Amino acid sequence: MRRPFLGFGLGLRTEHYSYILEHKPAVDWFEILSENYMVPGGKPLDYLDKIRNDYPMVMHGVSLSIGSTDALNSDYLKNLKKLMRRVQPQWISDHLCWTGLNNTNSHDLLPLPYNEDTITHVVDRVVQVQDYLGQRILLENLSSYVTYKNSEMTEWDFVNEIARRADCHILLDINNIFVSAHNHQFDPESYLAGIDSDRVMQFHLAGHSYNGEMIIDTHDHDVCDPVWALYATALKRFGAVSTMIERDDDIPEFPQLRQELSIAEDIAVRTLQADALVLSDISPQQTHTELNYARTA
Amino acid sequence: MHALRKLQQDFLGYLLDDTVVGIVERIESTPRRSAEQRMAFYGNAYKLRLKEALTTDYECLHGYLGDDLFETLMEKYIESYPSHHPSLRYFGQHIAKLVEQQEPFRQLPEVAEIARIELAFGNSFDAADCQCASLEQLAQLDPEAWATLTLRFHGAVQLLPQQYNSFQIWRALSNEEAPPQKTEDETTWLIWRQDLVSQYRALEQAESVALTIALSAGSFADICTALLEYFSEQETPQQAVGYLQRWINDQMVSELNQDQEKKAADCGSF
Repeated sequence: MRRPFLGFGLGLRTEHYSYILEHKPAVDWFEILSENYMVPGGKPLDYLDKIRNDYPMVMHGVSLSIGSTDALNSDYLKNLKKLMRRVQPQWISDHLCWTGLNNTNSHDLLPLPYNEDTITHVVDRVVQVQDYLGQRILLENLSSYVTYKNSEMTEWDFVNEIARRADCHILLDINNIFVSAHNHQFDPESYLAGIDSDRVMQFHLAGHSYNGEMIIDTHDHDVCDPVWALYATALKRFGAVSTMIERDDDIPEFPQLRQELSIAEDIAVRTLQADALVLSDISPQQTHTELNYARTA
Repeated sequence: MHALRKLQQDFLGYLLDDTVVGIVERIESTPRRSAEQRMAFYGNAYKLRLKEALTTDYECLHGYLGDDLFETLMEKYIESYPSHHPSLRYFGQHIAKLVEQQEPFRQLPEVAEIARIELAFGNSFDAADCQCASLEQLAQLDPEAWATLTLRFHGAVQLLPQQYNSFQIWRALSNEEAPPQKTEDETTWLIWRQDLVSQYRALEQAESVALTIALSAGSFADICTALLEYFSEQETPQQAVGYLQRWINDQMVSELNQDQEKKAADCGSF
């Protein structure tokens, strides 16, 4: 598969709006948190439009709740599609999780049991979402703190099987693999080795916290050395994959975050042939055609 | 699907009330951490996330109540008003209602007013954008259309009738200054948005009455009739036009609506 490569991006955060508009920093793309812009109007959408004029974007959501046993939230999907038309993102992602039930939202990314029943349930919903949006989505692996007794397979087999049957893509969060590997005592390299390379469209990198026993996915620190090492392993396994850093708390000044992104660029250049790191031919206004989705079944 | 739903019901039940522990028996324990300890992580994270949203949205209310009382308020709110929206942006919208109903907050009527001020600024911040009406459009109105003229307002426009000096308290807290003592002060405040920035001002009673009528789609004639309570017959039309011009200048008005029947008749005459 020829995977579209956007280069190296950052999460768009309100703290950086003015800096970005004033300095037009060299960043290949931004990832937006979809829910932050699913509002009627005002400054959030004004800044979004201005920054979108200068940069390609991808949309990343936290409330699709693809694994919930509630019906899909049609209002949410309608708003997501409306935002998608406005932003014209390169792609749209959310998490392989559930976030609520009985119309009550936990605002947390809650893990699913890894078994055949869950796969059947989630695949059916991913197909519905992709049909509605008219394009494939990316699903991201979680960091988690519990495992269920009725799980019957590894997380990576679960992720692969859903991506294969639903014909969707994978957003591989390298930090989440590291966090869950520690919390559940599995080998993170086995996780990478087990993931179907053709389905991986994007990497997330982030920092975390250690409370003495568990690692918590807090996104409030720089990316740590073991996660950088795992990133290098992922690059060897998957090749050039669009990569971004998520920072949601204790957010540093933009230049500092940009500096951290250059570590990812350096590792990619050192790990891969330089010619593998050529941006796909994209413009800020373009939606990548390879993600256009038409259900054939 | 049935088993997954039951698991999710038990999980969410635990988040909403950590004495409901049916989920724990479905979780693997490890030598390092028991199932209870692992689930406690999710229980704590649930409350922390919701408290963070309330603390962000009600910064001045937090400052006014202090840490302990605000913590009590957040605990009661999380218990009484679980989130039913995909975005945390809307989680705290019922807090004034809770403050009015529950002890010890119902003894402090200014607290609900401060909560409503912060909520109104939040609503103004991301209210829908719209084209604003212009003074040129007003000048071009057929003189006969004035009596039945109604206005449509920008979604950010909100009236806040207050019984206490809550706006002064809010303003001091938002400037990180010591708030004044609570005093009775019956004033209606206006919040609106101009060039994407939220604005506010206190209204004289006459303008407050006029704007209340205009916001409920009352006509220019209705406004003039009400203003006769405050001004002479000679002054009233001029005052009403003055209000209208200011509202338009401040980007509060999105549409000038002429009477529908009149418009239809006009069209028919061509």
